[in-house]
Amino acid sequence: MHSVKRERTSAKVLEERRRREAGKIVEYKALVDKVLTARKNHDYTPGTLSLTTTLLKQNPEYYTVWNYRREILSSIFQTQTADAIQSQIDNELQFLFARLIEFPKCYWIWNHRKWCLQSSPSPSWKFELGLVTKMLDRDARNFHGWHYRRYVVQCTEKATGKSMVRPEFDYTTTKINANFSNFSAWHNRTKLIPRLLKEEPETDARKLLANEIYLITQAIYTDPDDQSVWLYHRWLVTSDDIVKLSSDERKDLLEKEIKSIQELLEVEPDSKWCLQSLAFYKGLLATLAGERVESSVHGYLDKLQEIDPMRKKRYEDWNKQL
Amino acid sequence: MSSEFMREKHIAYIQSLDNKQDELEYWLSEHLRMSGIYWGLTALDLMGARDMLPREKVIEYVKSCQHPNGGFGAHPGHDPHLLYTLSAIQILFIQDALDAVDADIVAKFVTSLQDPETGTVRGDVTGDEADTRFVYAAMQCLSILGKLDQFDVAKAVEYIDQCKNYDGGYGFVPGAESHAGGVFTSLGALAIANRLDLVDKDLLSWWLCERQLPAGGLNGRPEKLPDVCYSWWVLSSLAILGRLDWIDRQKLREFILDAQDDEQGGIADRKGDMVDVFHTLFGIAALSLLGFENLEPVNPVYCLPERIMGRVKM
Repeated sequence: MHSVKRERTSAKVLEERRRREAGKIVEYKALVDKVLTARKNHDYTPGTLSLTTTLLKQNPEYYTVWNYRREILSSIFQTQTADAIQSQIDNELQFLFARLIEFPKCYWIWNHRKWCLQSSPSPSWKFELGLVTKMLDRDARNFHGWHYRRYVVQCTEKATGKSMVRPEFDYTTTKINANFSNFSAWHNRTKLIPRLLKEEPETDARKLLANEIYLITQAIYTDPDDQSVWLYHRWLVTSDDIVKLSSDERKDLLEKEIKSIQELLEVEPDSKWCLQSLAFYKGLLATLAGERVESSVHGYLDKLQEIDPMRKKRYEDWNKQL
Repeated sequence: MSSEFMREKHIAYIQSLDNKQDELEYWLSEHLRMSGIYWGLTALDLMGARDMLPREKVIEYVKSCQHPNGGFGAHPGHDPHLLYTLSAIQILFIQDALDAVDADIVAKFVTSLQDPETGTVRGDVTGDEADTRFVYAAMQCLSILGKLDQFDVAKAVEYIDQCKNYDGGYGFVPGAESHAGGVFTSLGALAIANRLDLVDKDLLSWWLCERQLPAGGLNGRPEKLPDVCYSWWVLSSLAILGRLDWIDRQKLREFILDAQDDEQGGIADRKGDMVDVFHTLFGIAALSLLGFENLEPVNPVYCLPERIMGRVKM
């Protein structure tokens, strides 16, 4: 089980735990029995809804019970006014928020939340954005949170007819400034920037690229061992997603970045990421210029085999390819 | 340090799983039971001990979880879901008992979950949760059943291609960040579709081999902790790309062996944690892929014993 510590327990402790659990098992099985029997009998009453609440609090992974819960709610909604439905859904969202705090990685809870919002007469996307911001404050890398955020943004855009690319771009900046080592935020930026440029055609793409490089260089200097920043750097320097550079412009950019990384390498002579980025960019530069790759690249790859022996074979293959 | 592979203890651990009715966890994990049997059975098979689970009883159990719409639930009384349908079909396939169920109705259930517009696949008929986990599960299931021609493979491939990111990896849905689990499901589906040409091999292999941390274990995304289950998602992906030698196999082996419970058997996510059958399978499957411990070879795309793969009609 993920991150649950194993304890060495004596037979006596084990026996005590068994005895303690025996009562809980009887209670749990009785509850499950009650809920499943009710479902067989097409029982869609509020009383049964609260039974599923008790059960799902104990076991949020019981997907069949989430399905049943939706059946009950759908049935209740049929006879209710829009206001009554909304208030029922508000209760539901509150219940789910507590579950998410406890089980932030449970697919079924996020899933049920989406269903609630789709069933809501007047969903508050603003509230949802606040909620997911809170969830990402608690764990900035929870991919369920990021998935949900993109979903909420999409729904907001649909509801208001207004793009959220700019505020979302700013959000990733905030996350990155709080912690450079946030691969999720850098990733989201690679998705937002192309849209931003499309929606704000007045933006100077070259300037934006320069700003991004400035930001990532700061991040690299802060922690040259962090791979997320180097992956983003590679995207900036090599892709056409931001601006289609001419061959000369690309060469200039590569040369400038090579120089900057070389300066860092002087301070951090054993930085694996400096070395492999230099090897990669110099190789690229040689290809663009139609020249033979600089002999220093072989030196970098030799050194990489030495300082990063786990990936020795990769550097060997790379060296052969040159 | 537990440097030896505890084959006998792992076999005993897996056999003991159905005798834990006096533990609350046994009841709380009912929603996973079908997959639990697949994990346990495959692990036993790779250890050359597939007869250690009662074959007829397992087949009867699987059948008892099928619904009239063709899908399987995780346990009797649990709703049909694609994840458990795949596990059910995998179990029957290992037992060479596919004829115990009507393949057409299972295929009908699986194909009904594909969205004809986008090519993606939902997990079940009630929700709209759709991602590449389900695309992969659907394709593997249909491939085993020899019914892949009933599925829009081209559309599914298009969907997976949209999940590709700037780092060569794949997220679970378009727009999502690269994740080793998403890489595995995407590569698995592309391999079944025979469309690995769409993969940026060098870039992705690089991203994958950087998952290995100094302790020898593999993580699922940059700057995360290592975990035995990623031994499988990352390693099988590297195997599919023909780059198993881009990581340190010996160090990964040690990481997995250290996560064994040397008293009760089984493997945990990492050293010192509680074991479970999920990590036990993925640890053993990774060791098999690495060629250690004299295990039966495992197929990296299907996570099934290579021994039975000849029965798949490609």
